[in-house]
Amino acid sequence: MSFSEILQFTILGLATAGVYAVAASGLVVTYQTSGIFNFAHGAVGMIVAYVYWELRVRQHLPAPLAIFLALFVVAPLLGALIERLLMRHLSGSSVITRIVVTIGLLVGLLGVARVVWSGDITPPPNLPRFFGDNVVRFGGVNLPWHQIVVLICAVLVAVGLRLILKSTRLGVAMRAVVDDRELTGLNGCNPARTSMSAWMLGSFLAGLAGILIAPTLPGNLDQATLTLLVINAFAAAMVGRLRSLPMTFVGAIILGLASSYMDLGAAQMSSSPGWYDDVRGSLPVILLFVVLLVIPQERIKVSAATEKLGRIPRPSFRKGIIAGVSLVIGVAVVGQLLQGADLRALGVVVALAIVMLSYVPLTGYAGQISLAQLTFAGLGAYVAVVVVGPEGSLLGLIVAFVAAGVIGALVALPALRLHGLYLALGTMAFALVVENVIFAGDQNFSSGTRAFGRPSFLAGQHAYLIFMTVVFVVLGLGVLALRRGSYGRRLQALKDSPAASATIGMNQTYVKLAVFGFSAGIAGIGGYLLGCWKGQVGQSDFSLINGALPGLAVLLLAVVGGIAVIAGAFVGAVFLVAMPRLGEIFPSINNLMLIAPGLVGVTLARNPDGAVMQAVDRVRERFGDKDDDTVDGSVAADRDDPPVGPEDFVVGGRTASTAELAALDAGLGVTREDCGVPA
Amino acid sequence: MSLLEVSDVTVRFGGNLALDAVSLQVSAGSVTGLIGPNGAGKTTMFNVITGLQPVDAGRVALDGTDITGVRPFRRARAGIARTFQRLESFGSMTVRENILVAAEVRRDRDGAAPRMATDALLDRLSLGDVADERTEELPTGRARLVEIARALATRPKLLLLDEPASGLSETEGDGLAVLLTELAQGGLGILLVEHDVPLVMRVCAQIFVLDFGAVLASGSAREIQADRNVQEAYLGTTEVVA
Repeated sequence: MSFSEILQFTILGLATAGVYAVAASGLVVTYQTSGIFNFAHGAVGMIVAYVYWELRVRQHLPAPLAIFLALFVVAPLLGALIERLLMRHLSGSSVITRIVVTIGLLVGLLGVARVVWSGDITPPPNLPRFFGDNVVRFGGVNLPWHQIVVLICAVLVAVGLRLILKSTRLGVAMRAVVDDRELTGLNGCNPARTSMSAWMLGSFLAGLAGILIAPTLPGNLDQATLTLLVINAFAAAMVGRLRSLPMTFVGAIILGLASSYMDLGAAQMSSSPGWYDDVRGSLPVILLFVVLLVIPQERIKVSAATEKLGRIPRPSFRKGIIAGVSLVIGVAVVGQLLQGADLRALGVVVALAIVMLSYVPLTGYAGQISLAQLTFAGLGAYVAVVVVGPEGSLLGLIVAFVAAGVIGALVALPALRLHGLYLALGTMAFALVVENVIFAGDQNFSSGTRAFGRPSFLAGQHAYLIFMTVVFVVLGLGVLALRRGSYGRRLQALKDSPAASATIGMNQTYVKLAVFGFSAGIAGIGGYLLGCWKGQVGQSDFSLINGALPGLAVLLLAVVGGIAVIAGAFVGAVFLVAMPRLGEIFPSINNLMLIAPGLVGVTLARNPDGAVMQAVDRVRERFGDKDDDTVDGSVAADRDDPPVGPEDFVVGGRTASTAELAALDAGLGVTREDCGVPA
Repeated sequence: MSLLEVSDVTVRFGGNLALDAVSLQVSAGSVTGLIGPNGAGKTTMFNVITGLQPVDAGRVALDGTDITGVRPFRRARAGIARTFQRLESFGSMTVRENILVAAEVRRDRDGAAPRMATDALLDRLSLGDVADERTEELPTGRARLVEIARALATRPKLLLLDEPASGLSETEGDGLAVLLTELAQGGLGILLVEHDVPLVMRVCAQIFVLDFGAVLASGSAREIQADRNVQEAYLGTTEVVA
C-alpha cells in the first residue's frame, strides 16, 4: 500500500470522524442540559436529511436555500417541539421512563418518515453529494469536494460550540453539572429556555450530520441505517463520558480513522475473510461496548432516590390462575373466530407476549434495562432449531430456554458493572453485534427462511395457538411465584437501593446473573415458539430496529402495557401486533398506525406504571375496591386476616376504629401527626 | 481486642483528603460515638467500614480478621450492618418487607425463621402500626427506624448508625437511647454518628471526634467535653449538655 493511499484514507477517515463528531456533540449538549440521553438523535438527523432531500431534489430549490430551511428552520423547530412536548415533562422521572420516551420518539419519527416519504420508494432516494463528484488533487490523491465540505463543517462546529459554551448562558448551564433544574433556576438561568435552546442546537447538529453523511453511505437515505448511525455518535460521546466535548471529538476521530483504515485493509485484500468484514461492519458497536466497559463507572451509588418509585403489583396465586385459565379460554374462543392473517397475527401476539414477559422480572422487578430481549428470543430460536432440527420437538423449548438463559447470564457478566443508561447502551451494542454477525452469518436465518417445525400432535393452528397460550400462562405463573417469594423481594430491593441491598448481605452479582439468565431464557422460549408458529423466521423477526416488529418497539410496548405487570406483557403484545394489522385491514388509518407505537410510547411520561395499572386504578376508583394486595404488594395478605382498610390500625390483635385511636392518642397526649398519620 | 479496628485509613477524593490516617476502635457490648462537624468525614468512614468506599491506605479489621478490600455483601455477612444518613430504605416495599428481605438473606446462612424475626423487630421498634405501608410514604423519623430494624434483621455484631435520631420526636429519641443501651448490653458493638450531642453523651462509652478528616480527640464523654480543641472546633461551649 502506498503513501498516497494511506493519506487518502486518513483524510477520508477524518471526514467520517467529522460527521460523527458533529452528531455526538449534539448528543452531549442535550444530555448535559436536560439529563436525557436521546436515543432518537439519529432519527432526528434522518428526518432533517429527508426534509433537505425533499426541498433540494424534489422541489428543486437552490442548495443554499434548502440548507437554510432544513438546518436553520426545520431542525431547530423540531428540537423545540420535542423539548416542549416531551422532554420538559421528564424531569424527576425514572431512568427507564426517560429511555423509553426517547425510544418512543425514535419509533415515532421512523413512522413519520415512512408515512411522508413512503417506504415503498425502494431503493431509497438519493441525496446528492455537495459539488457532485468533483474532486481536488491534493498530495497526489483525489479528494471529493464533499469530504472537504464535511471537514470544514466539523471544524466550524467545533469552533462554534466552543464560542457558545464560553460566552452564553447555555454554556454556563452545561458547564454546571445539572442535576436539578430548580437549582439552576436559582442561579439565574431560565432552565426551560436553556433546555429548549439545547434541544434546538442538538437537532441542528443531528440534522447537519444526517445531511453530510447520507450521500456517503451505501444505502444513502435508508431510514433505518441513518437512524442507527447514532450508534457511532453514542460511541464517540461515550469516550467523552457524555460530558467532555473535546474527548467526544477524540472518540469520533478514533472511530473515523479506525473504520477508514479497515476499509483500506479490505481494499488491499483480494477477498477479505468473513470475520474481518464482520468486525468492520460492527466497529462502532464494538467500540461502544469496549468504551462502556473501560470508562470508570460510579461505584454502588449511595444517594436517596429522588424519583417516585413505580408500583409492582403482587396478585395472589388464585387470581393468577383464574386470569390464566380465562386467558387460555379467551384465546381459544377468539382463535376459532379468526382465520388467515388474523389468526396468524393472534399467534404472533402470544409468542411476543412471552418475549415481553421476560421484561417483567428483569426490568419491572429488578430495574435492569435491557434492549436485547428480542435478540435473546432470536438466539433461543436459532440455537434450538439448530439443535433439534427443523422437525420440531418439545425439547426445543428447553433448549431455547437453556441456550438463551446461558447467553443472557454471560452477557450480564461484563454488564454487571453497568446500570441505568449504560446498561441499556451495553445491551443495545450486544443486540446489534448478534444481529450483524450471528443472525446475518447464517444464510437461511438472514434471509428469514430457517424452517421451524412443530410436533405432529400440535400441527394444527388452533392446537398450537392454545399450546403457546398455556406456555405463556405457565411462565407467567412462574414469574408470579418469583414475585411472591423471597427472591422477588431481593430483586425489588436491588432496584430500590443497590447500596442498601449490598449492606444487608445480598450478593448482587448472583442476583443479577440469575435474573438476566432467567429472563433471557423466557425470551428464548418466546422466540422459538414464534419460529414454530410462523414456520420460518430469521433476522428480520429479531432485529432491534429493522423488521415489522423491531426490538425497540418490543421494549416500548412492554413498558406501555406495564413493565412490572404480567398481564401488561400480553396487553403490550396485543398493541404491538394489532396496530400494524389494523393498518393493513383499514388502509385509511394505515398512516396513523405506523406512528401509533411511537405516540403511545411518548405518553409514558405521564403514566409510568403502564396501561394495565391505570385501568385497574380506574376500576378501583369506580367500585371502591380497596384490595391493597395487588396495589402495594404487602406481605400481610399472605395471612388470612380480615382486610384492613387504610384508616384502620391493628391494636392488640383486633382492628381499632379511627375514633378509638383518637381516644387513645388523646390519652397519650400525642396527635396523629406525631405518628406520621395525616389527621 | 476490639470488635472493629480501623487503622490509619486514608481516603482521597481527587485532591481532597476526606480521611487522613484515621484510626478508631469499636468494642463489642458498647456504644461508640463518632462526632464532628458536617463534612468531617463521618459518612465516608461508614462507607469505608461497610466496603462501599475503597481506601487509599490503611486497613479495617473485624474480630481480628482483615476485611480491607472485601466486598460489601461479604462484610455484611461477616456481621456489619448499617443505616444511611440519606435514607436508603427500599421505598417501594412495605415496612414489613424491608425487614423481611434482610432476614431472608440472613436465612440463607442459618435456619432462623425470617417471618418470626421480622414480627419481633416490628414490635421492638414500634413499627407494627405501619408494617404494611409503603416505606417511601413514611415520615423520615420512622423511615430511619425501619433502616435500624432492617439492619438488626441481619443479626449483626457491629451496627453503624448514621444520624438515627434526626427526624425523631423527643419521645422517640428517648426510646432510641433506651434501645441502643439495651442492644449494647446484649453484646452488640455500635458505632453512632449523631448530631444530637446530649444523646451521644448519654449512651456512648467512648467517643471519637473527627474534624477535616482527622481524629481531633477521643475518650469518654467526660474527657471529650473537657477537651479544649473539641470545644473550639465543634461543641462551642460545655453548656450543651448541661
